[in-house]
Amino acid sequence: MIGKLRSAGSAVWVPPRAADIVSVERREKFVAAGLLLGIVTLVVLGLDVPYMVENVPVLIATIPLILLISFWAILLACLLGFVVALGLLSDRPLCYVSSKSFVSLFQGVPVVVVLFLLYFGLPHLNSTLLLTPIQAGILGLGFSNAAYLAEVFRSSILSVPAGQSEAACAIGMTDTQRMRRVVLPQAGRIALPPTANYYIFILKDSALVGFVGVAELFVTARSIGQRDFQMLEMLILAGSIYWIITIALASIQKRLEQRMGTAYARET
Amino acid sequence: MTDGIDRNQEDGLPTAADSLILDWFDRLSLAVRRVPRGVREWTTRLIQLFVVFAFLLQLGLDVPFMLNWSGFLLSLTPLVILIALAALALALPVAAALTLGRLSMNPVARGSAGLYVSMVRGIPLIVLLFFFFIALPQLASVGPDWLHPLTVLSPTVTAILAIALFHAAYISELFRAGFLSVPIGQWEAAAAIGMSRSETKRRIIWPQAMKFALRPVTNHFVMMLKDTALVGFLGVPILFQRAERIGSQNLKMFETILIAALIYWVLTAVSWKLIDLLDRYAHSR
Repeated sequence: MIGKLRSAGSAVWVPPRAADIVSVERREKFVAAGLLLGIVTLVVLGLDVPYMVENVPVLIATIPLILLISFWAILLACLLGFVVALGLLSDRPLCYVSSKSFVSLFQGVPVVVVLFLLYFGLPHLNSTLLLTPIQAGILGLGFSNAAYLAEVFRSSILSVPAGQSEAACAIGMTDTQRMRRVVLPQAGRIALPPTANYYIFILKDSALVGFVGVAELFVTARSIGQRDFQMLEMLILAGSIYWIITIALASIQKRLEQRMGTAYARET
Repeated sequence: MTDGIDRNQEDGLPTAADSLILDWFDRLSLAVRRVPRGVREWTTRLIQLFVVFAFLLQLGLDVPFMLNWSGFLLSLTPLVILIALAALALALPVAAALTLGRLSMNPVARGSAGLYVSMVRGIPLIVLLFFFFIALPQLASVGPDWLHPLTVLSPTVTAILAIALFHAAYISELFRAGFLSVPIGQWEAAAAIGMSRSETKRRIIWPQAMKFALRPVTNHFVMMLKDTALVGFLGVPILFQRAERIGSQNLKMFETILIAALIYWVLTAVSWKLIDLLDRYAHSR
C-alpha cells in the first residue's frame, strides 16, 4: 500500500514542468528530422534513385482512385453503421441481435477475406452475382468498417447527456423529433473525429483492394517492381506515399477536432 | 355513420375486429416477454442463422463440399493462433521500449521512437510485410556474413516479425495513453511519501497504466489474429491462403472462403470472451 518512507535527506522527485516538456518536444522534432534525413541518405546511397523518380508519377496517378474508393467506402460504412448503431441501442431482440451479429461478424472476419468472398466467391456461388473489382472493394471495405463505426456511433449517441433527452421529452417532442433535433446533432459532433480516423484506416486498408484486381497504389508499385526486379525501390516509394497521405489527412483531422472542440468551449 | 360501417373505422381507432387481433397480439407479445431475454436472443440468433443458411442454399451453396474440406481447413487453425501469439509476445517488449523512449526526457530517444511510431502507423501492414520479405535478404547481401542467418528468414518468421513490429507502434501509443491518464495526484502522493522518480513509476504509475491499457492492448491480439490472413500472400500455407487455393481449383471459392471466414469469426468471438474474462479479473483486484 504505502511505499517505503525515505529519510528526510533523500531528494524528492517533482513532476516535470510544462516548459521542460515543450523544449524537449522542440528538440525531439529536430532529432526526428535528422534521423529521417539520415535514412533518406542511406536510401539514396543504396538504391536506384533515378528509377524511383521515374516511377513516382505512375504511383501518384493512383492516389485519386484510392481516395475515391475510400470515400465511397466510408460513406457506405457511415450509413450502414448508423442503422446498425440504432439497432444496437434498440430494445427489440430482433433489431438488437441482428446488429450485434453484424458487428461481431464483420469485426471478426479479416477485410481481405470479405473482399475475396465478394469478388471471387459470389460468382462461384451463383453466376449472376458478378461485381466489378471497384464495387467489391467499396462493399468489402464499407461492410468491414461499418461494424466498427456502428460501435463508434452507438457510444457517441450514448455519450450525449441524458438531461438533453429528458429536456426534449419535457417540451413534448416525440421520440423521432427528440432523436433528430436534439440527440443526433450532438452525437454527430462527438462522432466526427473518430469517423475521420476511420477514413484514414480505410485508406490504408485500400492497399488490399489490389488483390481483387483494382489498380491501386500498392498493387501498381508491386507489379512495376516485379517487372523490373526493383521491388525494394517500389515498396519504399509506395510506403512513403502512404505515409505522406496519412500525415496530411491526420493533420486535417486534427484541425477538424480542434474546430469541433471550440464550439463546446464557447458554450461553457 | 349508417348501417354496417363501424364508427371507429372512420376515426382511425381500432375496430372490433382489430381489437380482437390486437388482443391476441398483446397476449402473444406478453407471453413472449415472459420468456427470459437471453433465451429470446439466442432463439432469434438461431432463426437468423437458419434464414441466412437457407438463403445461401437457395443460391447454390455446396454443403457436402464444405463438409469435405472443413476438416483440413480446421487443422490449419493452430498455425493462425500460433502466429498471432508469437507476434503478441514479440510486440509487447518492443512496444514497452518504444513507450519508454517516447516518455523519456531525452530528445534523441523521443525523436527516434516518435519517428518510428509515425512511420509505421502511416504505412499499411501489407506494404510492411512485403518490405520485410524483400528488404531483409537484401540487407544480408551488403552486410557482414554473420548477419546472414539473422536476415534471411522463413516467410512465417518474417510475417511474425512484421506483424509484431507493426502492432508494436500502435500498442506503444496505448501504453503511453495509459501512462498519461494516471492522475497527477498519484505522482504527487508518491512524492509526498518520499518515493524517488523511478520508484514512483515502477510501483505506482505503471501498474495503473497497465490496467488502463489492458483492454485496448488485448484488442490488438484480435487484430493480429485477423492480420494473419495477409500472411498467405508471402507464401505461408495459412488458413486463408489454403482456402483460396482449394476454392479456385474446384471453382467453389465461396464455400472454402466461407469456411475460413467462419473459423476466423469463431476464433475472434472466443478471444473476445477470454478478453472479457481477463478484463473482469484484472479490474476485480
